[in-house]
Amino acid sequence: MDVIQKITEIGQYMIENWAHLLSLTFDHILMVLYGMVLAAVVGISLGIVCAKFEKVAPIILSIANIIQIIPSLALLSIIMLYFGLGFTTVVIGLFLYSLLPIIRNTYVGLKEVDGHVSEAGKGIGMTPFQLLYKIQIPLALPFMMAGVRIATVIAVGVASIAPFVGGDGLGREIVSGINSRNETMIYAGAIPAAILAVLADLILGKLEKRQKNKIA
Amino acid sequence: MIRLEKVKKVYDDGFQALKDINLEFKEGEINVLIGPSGCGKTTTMKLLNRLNEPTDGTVYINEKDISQMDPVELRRQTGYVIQHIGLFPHMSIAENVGAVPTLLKWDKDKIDKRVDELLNLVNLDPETYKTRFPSELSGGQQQRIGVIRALAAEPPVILMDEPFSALDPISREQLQDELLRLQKEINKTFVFVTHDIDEALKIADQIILMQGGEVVQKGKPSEVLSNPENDFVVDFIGKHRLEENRNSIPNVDEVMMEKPLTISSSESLTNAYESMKQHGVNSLVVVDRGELKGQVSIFDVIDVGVYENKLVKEVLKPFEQVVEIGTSLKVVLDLMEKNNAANIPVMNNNQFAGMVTRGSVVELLASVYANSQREGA
Repeated sequence: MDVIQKITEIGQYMIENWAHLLSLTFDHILMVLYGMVLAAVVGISLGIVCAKFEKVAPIILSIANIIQIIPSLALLSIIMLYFGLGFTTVVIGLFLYSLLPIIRNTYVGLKEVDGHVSEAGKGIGMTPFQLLYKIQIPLALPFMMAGVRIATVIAVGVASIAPFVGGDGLGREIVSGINSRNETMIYAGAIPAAILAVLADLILGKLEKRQKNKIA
Repeated sequence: MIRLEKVKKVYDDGFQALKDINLEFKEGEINVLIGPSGCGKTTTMKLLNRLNEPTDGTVYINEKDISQMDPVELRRQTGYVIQHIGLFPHMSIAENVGAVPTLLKWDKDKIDKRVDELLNLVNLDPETYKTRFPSELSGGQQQRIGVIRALAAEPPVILMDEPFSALDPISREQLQDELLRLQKEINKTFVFVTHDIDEALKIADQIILMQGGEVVQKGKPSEVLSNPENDFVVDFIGKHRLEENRNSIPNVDEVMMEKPLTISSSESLTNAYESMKQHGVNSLVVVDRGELKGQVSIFDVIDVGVYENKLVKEVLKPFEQVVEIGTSLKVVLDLMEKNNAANIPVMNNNQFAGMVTRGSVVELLASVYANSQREGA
C-alpha cells in the first residue's frame, strides 16, 4: 500500500538521520525556552503592573495585542532588520509573540482573586508586597500557567519559520524539504515539531491542573 | 480603650457616611455596632484598623492617635474577622491560623504550639484539622478558623464585621455561644458589627445603635430595651422584644443606684450631718475603700447629738441584708418587704457596688410606665 510505504520511508529516513534531527529538535526547544523564559519574566511583571494600576492596563494590553496581530513572518523580518540573521532574532520574535497571552492571563488571574481574601490579608496586616506574593500570586498561578502554556504552544509553531531569518530548529528540515521537493524530509521536520507542541501542551496542562487542585 | 472624637467621613462622591461620631468602646467588653444597612456601622469599625481613614476627627487607641501609627503594624495588633470569612484557600488550616504570628516572625515551635492551643479553644482537634484546607471544612468550622486566626497573636482589640451572618441559624447560635464563652476566658475588647438585633441583645455588653451616620443610642442591652431613645429605636428593636423585656423581671444591676452618697467611717458626725443636709438625704452609706461598713441615718446622728465630738464608726449600723450583683429584683423586693428595709446594698465580689432603694424601684416602675405610654401614642 502507498500509505504504509510512505510511513516506512519516513521512519527509515528518521532513523538514518536521527542524530541530525535530534540536534535540530534541541535547537528548536532552546529557542522556545529562551523566548518563553524572557516572556514569562517580562509578561508576568507587566501583568502585575496592569492589575495594580488599572489606568495603564488598557495601554499595555493594546500594545501586546498589536504585536500579536502582526503576522509572524512579518514580525520576524522586521526584527531581523535590527538584529540581523540568526538565533537572537528568533528568540526576540518568540518573546514578543508570547507576551500577550501571559500578560492577559496574569492580569485576569490577579483580578479574579476573591476580593474578600485580599481584604482579609490586608486586614491582618500584610504589606502590599506580602499580599501580592503570599496571597494573590499563588491564587492567580493557574491562570498564569495557562498563559504560559498557550504561549509555548504558539511559540513551538512560530519557531518553525526560524530558518527564514537565519535561525535553526526543525524548520530547517522542513525548508530543505521544500527546496529539494523532498516530501519525506518535510514530514521528518513537521512530525517532531507537532509532537513537541502536543507534549508542551500536555506537560504544562498537567502542571496547571495540579496548581488548580491545590487551591480549590 | 478606644475612643472616637468628632469623627466625620465624607466619601469622594460627597456621601456623608459619618456625621460627628463621638464614641468610646469599653475595654474587655463586647461592643456591638448595630443599625440598618448604610448607617455607617462598618465604616466606623474599619476606622479602627485604618482600612478606612476619617475625613475629620481622631481615633485613639489607649490614648494614642492611630493616624500617627503605621497601618500595617496597627493591623497586626488588631484582630479582624470578616463576614465572608476570607480564609486563604491555598494555605492549610495551620498556616491560616498562624498567619499573623508568621508575619510577626515568631519562631516555628511557638507558632505550632499556639495553633494547637487555638484549635483546642474552639473544639477542633489539631491532629485532624491542622493539615486540612479551608475548602474541606463546613461554613461554621471555617468561621471558627476565621475567629481564631484573628486571636492568634493575642491582639488586645478584635474587630468583627458581621462574622456570623452568612452562617446557617444553628451554626450561628453555636458560634455566638462560643464567642461568649471565649470572651470569659480571654477578656478582649471586641468591636462587633451586626444588623441582627437578636444577636446584639444576646452577646453585647454595650450596644451602639446607629442611623444615618449618627449614634442614636448606646448602653447596655437592658438599658436600651427598657429605655429606647426614640421611635426609630423602638421600631428597630421591635415591639415584641420590648414587650417581652417589660414582662421579664429585671435584676438588681438595672435597679440599683450606682453612686449613692457614701462616707468613710473615720469622718466626724458633724461632717456626716452637713453632707446629709447639703444633699437632702436622710442616710449615708459607710464605705471604707470599697468595703461596706454599714449606714448612718439622720436619726442616729440627732440621737447622739450633731455637735458631739464623735466619729461615724461609733454610731453606724451594719446592714442586715446584702445581695450580690445579678440577683433578681424579685428576691430583693422580698427582702425589703420582710425586713421592712428602706434600702439594700448590692455587692460585687465583696466590694460595694450600689444600693437598691425604694426610690430606685419607683424610678424603674416609672420608666416602664413611661415607655408604654409612648408606645401607645
